[in-house]
Amino acid sequence: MSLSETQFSVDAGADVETFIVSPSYAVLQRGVGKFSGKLTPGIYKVKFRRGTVTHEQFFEIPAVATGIVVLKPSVPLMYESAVPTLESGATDTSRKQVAAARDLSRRTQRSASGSNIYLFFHRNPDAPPLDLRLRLYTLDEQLVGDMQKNAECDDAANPTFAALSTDVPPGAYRLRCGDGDDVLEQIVIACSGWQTQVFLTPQAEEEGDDPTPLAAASILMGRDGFDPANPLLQLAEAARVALRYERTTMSRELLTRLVNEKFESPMLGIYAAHALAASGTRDPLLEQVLDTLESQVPGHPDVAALRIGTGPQVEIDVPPMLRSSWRAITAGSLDDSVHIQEGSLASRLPASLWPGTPWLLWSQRDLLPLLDTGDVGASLSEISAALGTAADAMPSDLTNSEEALFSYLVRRSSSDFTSSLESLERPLDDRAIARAFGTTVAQVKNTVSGLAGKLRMTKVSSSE
Amino acid sequence: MAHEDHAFVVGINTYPDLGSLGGPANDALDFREWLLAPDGGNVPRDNVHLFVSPAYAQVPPVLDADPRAEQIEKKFLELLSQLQQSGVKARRLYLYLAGHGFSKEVDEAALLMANAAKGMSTILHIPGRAYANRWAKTAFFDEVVLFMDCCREDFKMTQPRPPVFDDISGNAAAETFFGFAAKWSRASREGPWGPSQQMRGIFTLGLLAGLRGGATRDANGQVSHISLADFVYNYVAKSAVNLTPNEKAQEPQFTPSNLMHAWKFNAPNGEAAENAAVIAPAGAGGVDLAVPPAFYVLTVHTNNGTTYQLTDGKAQIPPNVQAAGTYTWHLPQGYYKLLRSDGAMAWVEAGGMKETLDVPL
Repeated sequence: MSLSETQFSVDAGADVETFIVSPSYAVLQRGVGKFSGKLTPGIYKVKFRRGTVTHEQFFEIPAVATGIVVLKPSVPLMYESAVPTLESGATDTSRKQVAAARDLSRRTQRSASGSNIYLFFHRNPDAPPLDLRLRLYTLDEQLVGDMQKNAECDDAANPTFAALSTDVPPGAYRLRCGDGDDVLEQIVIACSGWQTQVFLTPQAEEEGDDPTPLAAASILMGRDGFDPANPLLQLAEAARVALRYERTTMSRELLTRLVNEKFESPMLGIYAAHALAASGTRDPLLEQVLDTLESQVPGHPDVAALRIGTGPQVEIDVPPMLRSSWRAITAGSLDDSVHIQEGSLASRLPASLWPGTPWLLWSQRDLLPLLDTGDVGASLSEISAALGTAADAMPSDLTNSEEALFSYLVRRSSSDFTSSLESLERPLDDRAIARAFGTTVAQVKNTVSGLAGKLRMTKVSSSE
Repeated sequence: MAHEDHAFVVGINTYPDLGSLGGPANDALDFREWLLAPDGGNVPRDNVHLFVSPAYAQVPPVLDADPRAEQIEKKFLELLSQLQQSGVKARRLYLYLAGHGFSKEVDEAALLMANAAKGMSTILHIPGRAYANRWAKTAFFDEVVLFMDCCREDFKMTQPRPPVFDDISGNAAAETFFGFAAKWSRASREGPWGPSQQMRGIFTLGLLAGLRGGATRDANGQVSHISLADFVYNYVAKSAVNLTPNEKAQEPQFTPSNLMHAWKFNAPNGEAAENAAVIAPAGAGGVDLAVPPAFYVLTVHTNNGTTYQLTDGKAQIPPNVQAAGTYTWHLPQGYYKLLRSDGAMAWVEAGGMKETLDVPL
């Protein structure tokens, strides 16, 4: 230790990130949980971050060392999480909710190898009423759970919580929120021997946000019901938030802990692995975690997505739960490291997805129709031939995707660009369009077929 | 070599439909000034393409407002064609975009053009990150830098406008460094600044203050991407005060493509003098240049005979002015502790865009 440096020690929770900032705004040191280091005398700013909450405070390293300087948050770092914990507040309501979440999660008759999906929706008494239009379906749209009809609540007229526990065979299920034209949907994976726990809470409206409880859902997995006292709970939430905000410091620390300790929370591993993968680094730690996840939850699409580009082609028919998985699948579909099965639900996902959430959420009405896409090259040629006159006769019933594709193709064919593009032109095929739009080849094929069909109808109508 | 650098700088104030802004054109002009400075970006003037809102006497009809996407894309294609024909690989491409913006994806950010309107934004924008990535893949540059001082609020129904030139993947893609004024789905802010109290984006103020001396420099006088990112993040955090209830703080986001790549900003020591005669800055068009303040002013008033002491943790700092009942310090950026003779204490942070410090003591 240099004579001019003094040891410091950070005393923060396991799910707290700490950053030490110098007077010139450089981040000198960072870590997660408890860690220590050395600093020269001076005044520094320390930033503690837990979930969505950040707290800053100053501290001084004295010129004359008087022992280890201990840094800890001077205020509790509380943030809103959909997972009910005693830390969320010490009110009677929150205590009842925590107890209910735990007790009702254990009402399952699944076998050791069976699986269960547990939905728990709760709110503060002063929050808006719960919207219980939550339903669970199989992939082929058989209803298996309806919160409005079958949930257990504390108060039927004005519940502060509602719980629904459904024993299901392992597989993928569709969780829908809303009614009529206003239905949002995501996938929930049920794994053999596990209960998948989905915690929801009504979202406050913020500037520019259109709240839906699905967007801020916390999804965990457990073998013996929900345990609010499990210390890994906070880490799982920290990992989910790290994924939402693309923070890698937390993820790397969590992965290290998962490798060193008993690995009992697949969702924590999935969150941390995805956040770390999103940073672009291929850490050897990631490989160890993936091997464990594949043995714990075989066939999980969010685990399979992390293997894209590192081995054999990955087959996808079921959409994953995470948006980051879908981004990997989209990119992989362009170079054949992923094959999306024709006619599968994954092939029908729209290009327009619900933003502001780590989950893969889409509007049910935007799902692409099941089409025989036929010869996409021929359809593209047909569209290109029609473009010269079609600009004046654009079909009025185009979907958002078809209209965007139409505009793109019209622009490419305009005289302003063709002269510059001549020397650069590459064949325009479904992959090039998928790359241009950042979507899957399957989605492009569907859109091209749809657009070609509608242009054909427009031409027929015009000639009649 | 800076003479192999190119830049596109866009700043849009006038939005007939979306509501005009005060800062982006000023920010763009200032950023261009840094690009042209011999000790800054050191980019040849002919290589810097500027697109800012014209000084309209009256707000034009929305469909007539400039600048537009196709104008910028045409310049993109001209440069692309020029580079392809010359066969020479350039060093760095800068893309600077300021104005109204949105994001559909967590890793995207788009600048809305002057002729964008509510319900009419699908093709009336420049997708910044998509273009930066596309330029990187052309392999005509070693490095591509994208700075966007725009909101990244989510427009759910807007389809992204794809880049107008193809994904010409061939040789290894360029390294990329992206800096966004705000995280995804969050707004960026502007405020009055400088002697003229012109509207300026807080992110661009921090960016340029960092580049012009605020951020830690290495022995060659250059700023690394890490010190720049750290400086801008903390500058914005210090400057973005008076948030409304429920408003989240603005948090800039910086993303290098490769953590191991050593990004350097500003011309190295010596190169400025060498090129000063060749590259003459165009002038910032009446814009106050964003530079870190020479000092921040802390003034406290005494009463009842109380006295004050200020320290930076290493030594006591005597006041610059001590008159009856008043202490005034001129402080460089940093953290300080203010002690009053009755035992009261307050931490003081000298930093950010506001030069006068307020201390609740």
